[in-house]
Amino acid sequence: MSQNHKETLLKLQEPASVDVGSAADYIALMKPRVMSLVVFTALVGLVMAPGVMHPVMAVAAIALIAVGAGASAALNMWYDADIDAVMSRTKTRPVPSGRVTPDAALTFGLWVSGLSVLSMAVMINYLSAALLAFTIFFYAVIYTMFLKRRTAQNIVIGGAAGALPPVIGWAAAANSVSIEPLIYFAIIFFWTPPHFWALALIKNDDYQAANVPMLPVTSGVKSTLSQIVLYAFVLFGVSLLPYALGFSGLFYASGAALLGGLFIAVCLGLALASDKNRNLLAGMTFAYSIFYLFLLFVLLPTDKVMGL
Amino acid sequence: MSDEIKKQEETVWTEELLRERRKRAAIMAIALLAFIALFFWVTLIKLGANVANRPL
Repeated sequence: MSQNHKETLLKLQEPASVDVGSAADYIALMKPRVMSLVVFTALVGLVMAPGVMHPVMAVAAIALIAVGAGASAALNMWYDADIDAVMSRTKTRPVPSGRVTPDAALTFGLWVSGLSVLSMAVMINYLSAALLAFTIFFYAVIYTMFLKRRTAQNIVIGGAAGALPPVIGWAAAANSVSIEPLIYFAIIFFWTPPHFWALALIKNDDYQAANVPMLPVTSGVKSTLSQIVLYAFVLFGVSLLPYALGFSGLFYASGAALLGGLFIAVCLGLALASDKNRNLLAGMTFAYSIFYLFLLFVLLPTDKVMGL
Repeated sequence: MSDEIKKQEETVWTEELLRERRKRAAIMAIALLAFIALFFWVTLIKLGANVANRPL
């Protein structure tokens, strides 16, 4: 780490002395955009599970999963405040910008984590509470504290935390875990690397400045592009497993094949792009990946309702 | 006097900061009330007809 970089980090790391965070700052601490994806995939897991859950219980389960995910995001922002401060995408976050003190973010994250897990155990069931606790632990400790700054496989392994919400949703409704939610887990797990590497390509300078070993930083652009394409092909196969294993119909399979084929095409477009157009195509890949996952998880319950 | 209290006293609480603080307290109160209501409702659902099933 260069002397200049160290000085920048120290300067920007200057913690806020008093917590002047507004309600909006605390909501931002919970990463609401990530939370929306968590809520949506957890809801699909819950809807796809066998049996019927009381609507109020379902609302409680989804709300608690969202709050738990938000709490782990707050813990992530507390721990990562130093590197967030040097990256353009994250420097305005509540902790590095000095609106919320690191202590306040930590306290908030720990209390809300505890509250969400305990409430899940009391209101829903122990299995979903244990899975929620594991997800929070995996994201805040395994990913944030151990993987993120140490290995280029950070978001590959860390992606497990983001892939668990549909499993928790399923467990909340069925009080068990079977092969179906594990396939949903696998879909999100294999979707995460190409999604984040597309972003990492755009923000490569940021990650370099913050010394975060994202794949483009450690292995270069070419290797990252090959990995993105490879994961897009694996994801295509994994996304067809619900049909291959017989718990989703032809409607889902055709939709997944079409969306997955387009995803492969977008990733190949990115891999073959000139240096000049690469950022634009990486942005398109990132945006399409969100659209892709959203539609794939819309197809699952739609197919179930249609019964094709 | 602890450092934390000293820092608190040194902070200039402008009208805007105070307004934000009141808004934050109000939102927290609403969130807590919603949580209590949800807890109560879920308890009623879980108990169901067993509410009436007790020794008289």
